[in-house]
Amino acid sequence: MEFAQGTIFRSKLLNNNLCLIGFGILAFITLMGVLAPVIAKNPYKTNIAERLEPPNLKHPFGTDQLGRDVYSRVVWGVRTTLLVALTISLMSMSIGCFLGAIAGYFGGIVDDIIGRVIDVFLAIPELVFNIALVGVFCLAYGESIWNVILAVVITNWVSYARIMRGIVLSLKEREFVLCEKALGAGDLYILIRHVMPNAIGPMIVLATLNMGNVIMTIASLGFLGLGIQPPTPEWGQMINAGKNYITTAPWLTFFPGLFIAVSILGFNLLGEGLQEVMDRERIVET
Amino acid sequence: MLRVENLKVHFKTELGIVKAVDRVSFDLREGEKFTLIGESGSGKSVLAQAILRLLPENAIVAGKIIFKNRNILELSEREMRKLRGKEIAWIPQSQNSLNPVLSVGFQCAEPLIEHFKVSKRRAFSRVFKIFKFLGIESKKAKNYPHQFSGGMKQRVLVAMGLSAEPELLIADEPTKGLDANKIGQIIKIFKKINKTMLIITHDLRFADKLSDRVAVMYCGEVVEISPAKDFFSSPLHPYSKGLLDSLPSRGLKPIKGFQPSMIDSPKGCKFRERCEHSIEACKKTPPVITLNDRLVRCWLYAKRREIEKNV
Amino acid sequence: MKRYIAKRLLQTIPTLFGVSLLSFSLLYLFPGDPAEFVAQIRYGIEPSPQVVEEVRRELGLNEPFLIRYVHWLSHVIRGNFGISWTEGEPVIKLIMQRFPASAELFFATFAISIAFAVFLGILSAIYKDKAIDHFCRIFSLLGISIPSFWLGLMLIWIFSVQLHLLPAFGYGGLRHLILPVLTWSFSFMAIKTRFVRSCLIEELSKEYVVVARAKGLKDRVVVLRHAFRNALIPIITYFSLSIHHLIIGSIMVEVVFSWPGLGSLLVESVFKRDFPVVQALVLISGVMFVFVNIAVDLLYAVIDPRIRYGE
Repeated sequence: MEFAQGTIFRSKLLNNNLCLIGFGILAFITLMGVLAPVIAKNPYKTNIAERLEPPNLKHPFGTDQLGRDVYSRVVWGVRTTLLVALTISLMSMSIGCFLGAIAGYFGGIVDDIIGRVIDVFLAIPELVFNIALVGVFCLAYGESIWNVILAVVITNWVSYARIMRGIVLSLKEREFVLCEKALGAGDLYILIRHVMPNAIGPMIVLATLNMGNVIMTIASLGFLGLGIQPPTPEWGQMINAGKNYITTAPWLTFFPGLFIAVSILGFNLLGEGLQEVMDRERIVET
Repeated sequence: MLRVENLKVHFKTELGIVKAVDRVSFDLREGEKFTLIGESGSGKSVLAQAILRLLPENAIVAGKIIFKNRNILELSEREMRKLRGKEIAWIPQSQNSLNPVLSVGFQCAEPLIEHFKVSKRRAFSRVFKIFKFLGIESKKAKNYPHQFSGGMKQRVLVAMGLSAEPELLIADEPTKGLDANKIGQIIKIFKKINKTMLIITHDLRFADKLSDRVAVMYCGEVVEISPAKDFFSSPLHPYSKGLLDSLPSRGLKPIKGFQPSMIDSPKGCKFRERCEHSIEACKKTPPVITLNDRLVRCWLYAKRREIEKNV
Repeated sequence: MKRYIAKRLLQTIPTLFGVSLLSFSLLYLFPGDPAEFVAQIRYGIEPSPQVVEEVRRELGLNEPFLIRYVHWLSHVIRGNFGISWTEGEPVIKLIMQRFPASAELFFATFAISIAFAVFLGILSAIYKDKAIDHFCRIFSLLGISIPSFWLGLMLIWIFSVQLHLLPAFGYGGLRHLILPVLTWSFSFMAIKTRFVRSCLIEELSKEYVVVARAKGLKDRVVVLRHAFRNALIPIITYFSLSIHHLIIGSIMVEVVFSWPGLGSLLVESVFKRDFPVVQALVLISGVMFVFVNIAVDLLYAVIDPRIRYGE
């Protein structure tokens, strides 16, 4: 039975165009990142003789103000962005799911406190708080990738916690959980046995859509000059440097931005597609 | 006045084709109250929506619906719109049929404003008269649906149907969700309305008190059409008998088994598997037999007529 | 109703308290000695210990955390956000100077986005799963995927660099407003369009819509007067929630177009390490969000007749 359901689910995934296109885009971009050493040159190598060259055969995306190959920097930038975004997502997901689950499960004062904290973090616009935090962290700990990661995680765990709390709350009152409780099952057992399987679907959708947001935040901070610092290749920061040459060398801005947009689009397409498939699943069930 | 000929309404769904209405024919005479009786899911509400052409896009409709010598199914959307509400009005099922954010008075006045291009004030004064006729206080016209009880909502729906003086009223399950007391009031109101009415209900007692003629629907098909008096004293079709026997006043004997699915309903007579009298012939599609002014779709009567002929 | 308002206001107190505590602690996270930093700005590279001590006392930095917080909060409630470290002017004055530009950008974007979101959302809902619906979907997917700072730069490249039609940067007349508003609207309207679409689709599937059609109303009337009016309640609620952007609109758009609003003030202040300003902006934007939420809750109660007249 479970096998059959899994097969149907897979066939639905494959029939969903959004999922397929999104997955295709992400697979392509990830592959670029993985193969960066093979398909791209050294992203740090400067060459003043070849600075600000428009796209040509040797430099398909042109060169920047220091004569670095924009194509190579963009391709290596895949690694930076995806790795940082993944780190942020995993960290905020663990924190968020943990806090959300204990808030929903134990209720009472624990829920009150975590609920208030969630409210407070929801109230302050994410980017505003990110910028303020990165500003402080830069002063406190010097410039480091961890400033960005920490600042984004501090605001990003909230959405996971909120959804997780809702899932646990709705499950807690269901008969099978009450039954298990009456039979003396441990809290941890119930959380793992019943909450996990039910939470995994919504969490995957949320994480996918959230990856898009995180990439946007990383790029925005990079563009403001508060994110990952040069010479590490990062798309937002490349646009920040490129914007000064917008009149003469628009390719410095164009290509990194294209990659930001396409990778965010990939995550959004995949996320929306997954959501569609799961919604339909639920309709068939009821 | 209204003649339905060989009407079929099928829905294309993911699970297959749903034959909600299949080979249905009947006619409505001027001034009579004609009741369609059937269990829920027998396709009677779909039939009503088919007459007004309000079915969703996945419906396939075939056959003829002749209203005043015009086939409704062939009218343009524009002509159809002029018909709806003005010549044929619909009294929908209660509760959620009213728009929650518009005042009930305005909702009742809408058909008047639309079809007669009268001012809002004149439309309202007409609505007040109808409200009075139906026993609704006119000051309640400004209220919103959530402020009404179930019985009052049903009256408002009747007022909405009556407002543009239609020639034919189709009432869809007017007693749904109402208690016996409220049903009594609705019966009184319906008796006062002097119009041709097509009433759709699963409530046999309600049908008994109101109808001139009744038609029984089972699994998308009309199995019997009889004058109400004859029907309630001597039903013809085994299903009609079963329905009447399931009434508390007649012994409370429910028909065994369930109504078959409309997706792959049995060939031949659809009631066959639940019928006490089923014979070999029932595996073939039963003919429609005319007995005086009554119609029945059953092999039992075909045999009987043949026997009569032979004697 | 009054009790509801009171309850709602009471509920926000812990949130407001948390927001204020969080923004205040930002300053506390400040590494090193703020007094020394301020003294450096005011009196040159190497201020003497006496000067630093004087600044410390002036800023109240020698007190413990809690006392400083209470002191700060008591000033903030009266609208006094302290003195900017780098400009030497009251923070509130700096904020008021920048606010009009932010508000102008916001209102222009808000108006345009609403108009387009409603228009496209209605089209999408009516022509569900048709070409125009797919187009709107792609459009809104791009809206949430394309970074506004990149879109802004691309628009500058097209309209300012290539076509010389519009100014690339700065604040001034209507011509300066066009590109920033276009850029921001593109993402601002994206999710709103989807929201209008799904609300309207949900309403169109309700029974009262079929009833409205049964009255013979034109499709336009059915959609706008009946379905859309119901959809309007969640739509207005949802749109109003975005009013909190009024304070710090789009940071990215303001920075790209050198728009002298509060978003660019925030970024400038972070770079200048002018923490009292950063702190004030974080606080104000959080408080704004909380108040907009309450206002929207109350608005919801006012526009929905079910709540307006509810028990």
